[in-house]
Amino acid sequence: MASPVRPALRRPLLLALAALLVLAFIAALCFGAAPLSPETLWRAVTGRTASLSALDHTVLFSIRLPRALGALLVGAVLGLCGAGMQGLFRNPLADPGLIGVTGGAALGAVLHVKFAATALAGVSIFLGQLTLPLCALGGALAATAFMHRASVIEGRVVVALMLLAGVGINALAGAGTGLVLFFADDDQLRQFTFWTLGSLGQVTWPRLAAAVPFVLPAIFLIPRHARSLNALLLGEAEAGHLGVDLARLKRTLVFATAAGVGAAVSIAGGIGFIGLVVPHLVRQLFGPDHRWLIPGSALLGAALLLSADLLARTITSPAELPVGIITAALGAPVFFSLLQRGRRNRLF
Amino acid sequence: MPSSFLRLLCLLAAIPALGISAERIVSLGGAVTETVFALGAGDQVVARDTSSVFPPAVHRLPDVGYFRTIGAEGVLAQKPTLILAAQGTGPAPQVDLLKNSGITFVHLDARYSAETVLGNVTRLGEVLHRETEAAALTAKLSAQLDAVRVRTLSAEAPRVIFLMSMNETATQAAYDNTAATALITLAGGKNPLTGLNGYKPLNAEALLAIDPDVILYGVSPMAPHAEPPAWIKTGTRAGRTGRLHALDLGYHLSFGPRLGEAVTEVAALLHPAPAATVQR
Repeated sequence: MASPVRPALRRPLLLALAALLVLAFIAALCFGAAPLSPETLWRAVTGRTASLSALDHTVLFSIRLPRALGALLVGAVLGLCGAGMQGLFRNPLADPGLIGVTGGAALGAVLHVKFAATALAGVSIFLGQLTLPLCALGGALAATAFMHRASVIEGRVVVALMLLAGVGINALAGAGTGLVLFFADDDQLRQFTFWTLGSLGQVTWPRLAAAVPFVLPAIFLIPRHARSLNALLLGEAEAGHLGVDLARLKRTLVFATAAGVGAAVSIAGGIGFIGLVVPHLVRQLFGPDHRWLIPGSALLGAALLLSADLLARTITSPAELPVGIITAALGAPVFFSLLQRGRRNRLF
Repeated sequence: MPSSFLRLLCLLAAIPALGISAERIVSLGGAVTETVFALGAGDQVVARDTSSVFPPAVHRLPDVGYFRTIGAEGVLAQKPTLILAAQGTGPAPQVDLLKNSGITFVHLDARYSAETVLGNVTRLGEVLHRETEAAALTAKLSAQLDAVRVRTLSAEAPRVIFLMSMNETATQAAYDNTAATALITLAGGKNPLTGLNGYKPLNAEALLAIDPDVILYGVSPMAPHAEPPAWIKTGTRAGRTGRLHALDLGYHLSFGPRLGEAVTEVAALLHPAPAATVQR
């Protein structure tokens, strides 16, 4: 394990991550397929938006701004929840998808794609384009609720059982998704494939607004449980003796994660590796203390996804790559190097 | 004298410019792009999508991505005055951005039928002010399709299966609502596979049990010489009797302005002329 920085350096390091995030956000607004001059950007920043051309205004305020905010929110919540889940499961391989969120969201999404024009037509009239994200979110929450129930023994949530129940839920949701896809037509198949690859191109103001309320619990609740997660590092019994309310901790973390990751997945599709890799990277920098690990993961996750999306939008411009390809391509090598280091130091 | 002649010349030159203001077109969807070029408005196209691969002139144009996964900013960056989009252009949020951008946005039907192709030609003729060219093209298309219909009407429809992709054990076959099934029907054949939508796996045993008269398979324009596996060539009746034919996915199945030629060619495969059989 690379040694984490000295405690005195943690605060400056966290500030550096925040600065990185700000830079990534500014870059996301400045660059894209449509060239915007620095002068145009300056006029936008100083509030003289009336003097922008219609094209520049659309690009900046209807396309780039909601997309950058979406990347920020999704990246932050994936990093945050990843750190929380790895702490809760005391397992470095835990990722938010493990509690059934992703599988449930995929099933919700595919049901929507299949039945949008028939059974769900009435709902779609009221909710419009929000129907798909809300269906995905519904699937995520339902899967997690089922998983949570399946892992209770005598009123106590057993973490090992939760892990297995999550695997089972994902398998079941996968089977359901496959079955619906078998009866889908070509258009529906393509829509679903696009959704699973992940893209921030789906993020618009209304969708962003619909996702925010579901993301807030994760952002506010998970950091508040950092001390309890630190205690949990010692073991469940020890944490209990230290006064941690284990049942509440598990319930809060699992449902905050389900809502947050479900909302993230519902607006951006399946974006791989951020939830898994970012907490590992941050642990290398800050050590295992969740009080630093959790905010660090949120900041780095957001910065990473903003940068990955910027790459996705620009390297094949004017066409776009699915951002999931970039996050996985960036994340996997880092992950292998972590494994390599762990092997050398006999951590496994 | 010369000055009035010059003025007349200028006026004459201005007539087309008045009637047809040059657009900056972003064309999304292979058949749409092909139709725009077939109507002689190809020089107004400034960008295309990945599925637009014909005529070859399109390859010099910037590619804004696959029309089903378009990015609004990439399209707007081309400063279009007219966006032509096949049905299925998406994702919906990006399409809404384009529709709300104030640029003329024309949606075109993309169902797999002769009526759709003819309707799109007429519609694009109106949008591009090329009504004469459009009328000529629809007349030619209708004549080609009618000729095939007349020729195949009395003959018994052969049972035809279309395979999209093949390997040693399983294949993807065309069912309802596919370009392949529509093409087979237009060419006077009958697809025995119905009841499912799109392309679905068909196992080898089922293919042998159905025992179609003709097997068509798709080859990508990028890999035109892809061969079907040996078991299809020797194991099926269609394969043994030489009734296994490749179709170009970018041409025969494109349902664009070359539909007439495509249907004529496929009809010739499904209903070989009696003379040709005698010669053999």
